[in-house]
Amino acid sequence: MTTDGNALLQAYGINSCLECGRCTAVCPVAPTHTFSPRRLLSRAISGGTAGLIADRSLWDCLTCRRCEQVCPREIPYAELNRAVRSQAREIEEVQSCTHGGIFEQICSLMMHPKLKQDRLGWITDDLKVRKTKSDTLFFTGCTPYFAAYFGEPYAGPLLNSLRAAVRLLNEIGIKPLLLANERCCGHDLLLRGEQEKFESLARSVAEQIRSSGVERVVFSCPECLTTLRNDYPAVAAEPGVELVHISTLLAAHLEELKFRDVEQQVTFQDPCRLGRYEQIYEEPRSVLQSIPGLELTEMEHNRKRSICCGTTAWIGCNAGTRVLQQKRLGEARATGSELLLTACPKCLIHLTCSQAGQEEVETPAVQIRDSWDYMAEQLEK
Amino acid sequence: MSPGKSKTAVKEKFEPRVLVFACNWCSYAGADGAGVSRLQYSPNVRLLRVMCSGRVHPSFVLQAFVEGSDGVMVSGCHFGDCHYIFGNHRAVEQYEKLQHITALLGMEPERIALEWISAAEGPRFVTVIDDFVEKIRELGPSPLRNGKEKQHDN
Repeated sequence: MTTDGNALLQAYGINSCLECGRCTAVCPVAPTHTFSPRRLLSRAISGGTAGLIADRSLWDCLTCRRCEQVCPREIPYAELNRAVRSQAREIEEVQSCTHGGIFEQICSLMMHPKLKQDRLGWITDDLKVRKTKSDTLFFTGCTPYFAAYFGEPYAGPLLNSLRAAVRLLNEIGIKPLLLANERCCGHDLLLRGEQEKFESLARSVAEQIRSSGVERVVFSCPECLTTLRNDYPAVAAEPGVELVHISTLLAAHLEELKFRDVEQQVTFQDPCRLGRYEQIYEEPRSVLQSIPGLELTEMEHNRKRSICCGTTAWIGCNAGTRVLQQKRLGEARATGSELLLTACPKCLIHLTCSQAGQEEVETPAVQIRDSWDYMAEQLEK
Repeated sequence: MSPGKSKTAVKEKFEPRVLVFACNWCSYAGADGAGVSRLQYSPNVRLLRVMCSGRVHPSFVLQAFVEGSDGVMVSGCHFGDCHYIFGNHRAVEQYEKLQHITALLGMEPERIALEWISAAEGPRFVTVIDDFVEKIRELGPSPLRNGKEKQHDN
């Protein structure tokens, strides 16, 4: 069923739009795609969701919330977009997923009650983890699946990122619990309009966390964090424990982290879900800056103004996406840093992939690494 | 009834549902050869013709499991015979990815098979299919079946 314009206007307050066009001016997608946030609103005002669904550009939105930062009326574009996508799914007007839709199928298979995953193969002997009881749970997210599907050169850095996160937790005295049958948080399904599947996953994840008896859950994946924090309560699937990002924990225990000297200049990519969704900008930076000798230089667009890595929820990857990614990599090179540090497995995959396709650039390529992997490497042995 | 006997009874009742992706140039022609020679092969398989085994993305195989298959086989030309030169090498890459993914999902990797069957190998097609169906019968129903699958039988 499609909702008429009025119902949407009331739900998201879009009739307060001033048509100032600030949203489209800052939108990273608008210059290269047919999508424009301002047009999204004017279509919604004039024709309700039916018009939006017919206009396929709806699926180009990265839901990066850059527009929401500048909107004078604070219109929730990302949520509006998600609501419309969920209606599009009901009438089966859907966008095909990249990589043959494999990640969507993996998410769907995760809903199966009898599923018994074996996803802890990445744990090495030097990591101190618990498999039955602990006060802290480390939520790994889908990274092991990304590593299995993409293979090298992605698998190594992706799995090292998880290992590094556990090593850093060990360093501040936490032996986290890990679940061999942890399910997907449902972030991507929600963005693909699969409300029903999302609710089913949310309930089983919340139940898994409750029955594990932990007091808090630590995330290194920003998408899992924001989904559990903000989207689970809406479907009555609250895990009822403290949900915390690894950088927040590390920043609070800086004195316990002993790093060795590095003489290096690095720059940091803010993931949309960590920054604009969770307002975690300074914590990862403060941990990086506690490494002696490390110089953190900022890209032209940083923190609230940060640019997305180009693809959300594996929906669409095209020439326009490449332009966006190249712009971001260009900004990273312009800082003069040798290293671009990411804090989200998807940023790592997308930026690495984009850089691999441009061997002929004149300026030297910047090395792309995961923040936790880099930090753990600088720990004093 | 002894527990052993009842187990056999359950096994007899279980009819595996197996999907076979067959490439247009070799394996499908091999199946055709088996048919022309009036060779009988297991009725538990559904053949799906694709232009090349390399076209079978890992997502196709997972989708088959989402929709209730108990086993999936991808079959193509022998190395060196691929109509598109390197398609079957792509199939090997895809197969290896699938092995990693199914291991993570906790599913038996044997539920997915990769076989090379040429257009001249009708009798071999029959043995390969029958052996695979028997293997799936031993393994039992897929753990990812949800009982709500559409009935395609008959």
